[in-house]
Amino acid sequence: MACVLEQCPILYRSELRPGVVDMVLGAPRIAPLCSPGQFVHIKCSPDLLLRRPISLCDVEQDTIRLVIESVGKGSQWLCERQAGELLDLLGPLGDHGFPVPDAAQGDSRPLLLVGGGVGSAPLLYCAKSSPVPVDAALGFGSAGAVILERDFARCCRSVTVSTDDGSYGFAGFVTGAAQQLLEKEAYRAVYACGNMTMLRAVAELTQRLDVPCYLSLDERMGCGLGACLVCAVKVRGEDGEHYSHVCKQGPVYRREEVVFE
Amino acid sequence: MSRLGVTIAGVPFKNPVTVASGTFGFGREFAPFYDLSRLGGIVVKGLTPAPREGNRPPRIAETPLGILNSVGLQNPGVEAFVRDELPFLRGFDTNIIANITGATPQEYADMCQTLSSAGGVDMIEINVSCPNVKEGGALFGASASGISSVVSACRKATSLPLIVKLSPNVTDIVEMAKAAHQAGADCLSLINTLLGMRIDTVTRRPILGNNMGGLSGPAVKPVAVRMVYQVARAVPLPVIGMGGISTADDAVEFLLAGATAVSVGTANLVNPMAAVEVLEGLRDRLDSTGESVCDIIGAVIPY
Repeated sequence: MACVLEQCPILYRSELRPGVVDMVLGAPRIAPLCSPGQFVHIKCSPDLLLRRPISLCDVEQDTIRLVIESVGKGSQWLCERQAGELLDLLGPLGDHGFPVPDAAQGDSRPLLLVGGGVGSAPLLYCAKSSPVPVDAALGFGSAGAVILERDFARCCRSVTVSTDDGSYGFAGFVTGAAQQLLEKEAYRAVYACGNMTMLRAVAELTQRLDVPCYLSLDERMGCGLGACLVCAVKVRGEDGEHYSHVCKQGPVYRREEVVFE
Repeated sequence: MSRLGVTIAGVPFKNPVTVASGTFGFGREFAPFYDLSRLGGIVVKGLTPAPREGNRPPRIAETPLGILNSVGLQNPGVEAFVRDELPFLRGFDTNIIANITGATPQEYADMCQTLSSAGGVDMIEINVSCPNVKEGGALFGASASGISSVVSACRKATSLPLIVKLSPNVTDIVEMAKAAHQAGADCLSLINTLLGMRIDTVTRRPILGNNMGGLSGPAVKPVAVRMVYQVARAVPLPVIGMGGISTADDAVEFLLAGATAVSVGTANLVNPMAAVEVLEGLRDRLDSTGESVCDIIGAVIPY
């Protein structure tokens, strides 16, 4: 799939909450190539060698939106950038994003998106691109950590926010909220993004309820192009288990493929 | 020959800029960014007799101006390379260098035969320095006798020029270089990665799934330049220098130290255009001084 290098100006920047930055970049070359679930690979400060993979939160005609959480040196540097600065992007990357639901043949069953924390961000792009109705279940630690609720509300049929400590919305893990939705209605599929513990719980839940499920995975990454083979995740194929590379063969996998270790 | 051209073991290189094994796959991922024919040579991902899945992740950790990797030679095996990748590579006007690792000298020799008869491979790089596999690899590169046994076996198995890729994880790099030379090597490439480790101080676990890995990138460049300098002066074989090259100036440093050609490695992971940017920078630099590459090889003026 096509990807390019592009110097992208930060057109807009705001803080969604302390440590989480929302930015819109001018990316007239990258934006038309993007699809939901893909990511861009961003060069950080000169003293950090490796690019950092950041999922696409939303894409317009010639802009891309990213939501970045400061979790390490690279993401911290990115979060400190201001409007007007240029970022060195490589993208879009990831040959397998979230499949765009097929609305043909009269199947109007809705899609359920399940996000954990900042992992909710890439699901917004799915919600906005979906030709079928979308419900979102978004889980956060506490009320203060909730992000993007209004953005999802604008393009989803319903949004259920959960907090682990019960300080806002559904009290408990997001899989609890997702289970309530899945037991009430027949969904065509569940798309999930979040940490591995959450993804495993979503995989188990959807397997039990026999709903197709796609998971966006993450692994420490090198080139982003499929050449260096460092971002390996174990997957189950027709001929047994093998290592797949998130940057090229991912980042999104069918539940049946993912080997939780 | 143009200002940029060099000859290594009888093989003409249109320019001295190659890409290092393991950082460039089999070229496909970089072909959308530039014409691979612009490169002096492509050293392909390390091959083994049978397919290998590689080590458990994580396989990469960032370090100050470097990276540690522990891929563990994940590759489809030499036969799949010949069948599925070599036809694609043959389409480019550049030297194709196959990098091989075996568990025994016989395995190395068998791979040499397979690659020689395949056609389209210009040189073979013998990897006796991969720090990430238990069998073979660095085990051979750690001793002169180990290097000797592998290179001798390969020498009998092929008439293709043999490059021996040396490990920096040795007491005396010159001793290893001499052993490779005496066993019939046509060229030496150095350095492979330096064995290193990182530990997460919160979880107290190593960052790499393999606990240890190979350090590369700008952080290792002074070590690499020093070793190229020592080897080029001690052994009458051409040297392909590598270790942290990301600019034309880095490349010139290796050429001055005595390298006949250079490899861009880790920089490919950061900037897919790195190798051609090094090449363009080198061309500009030579144009401005009116020199050719051959004029600056080994031209360091030591104290």
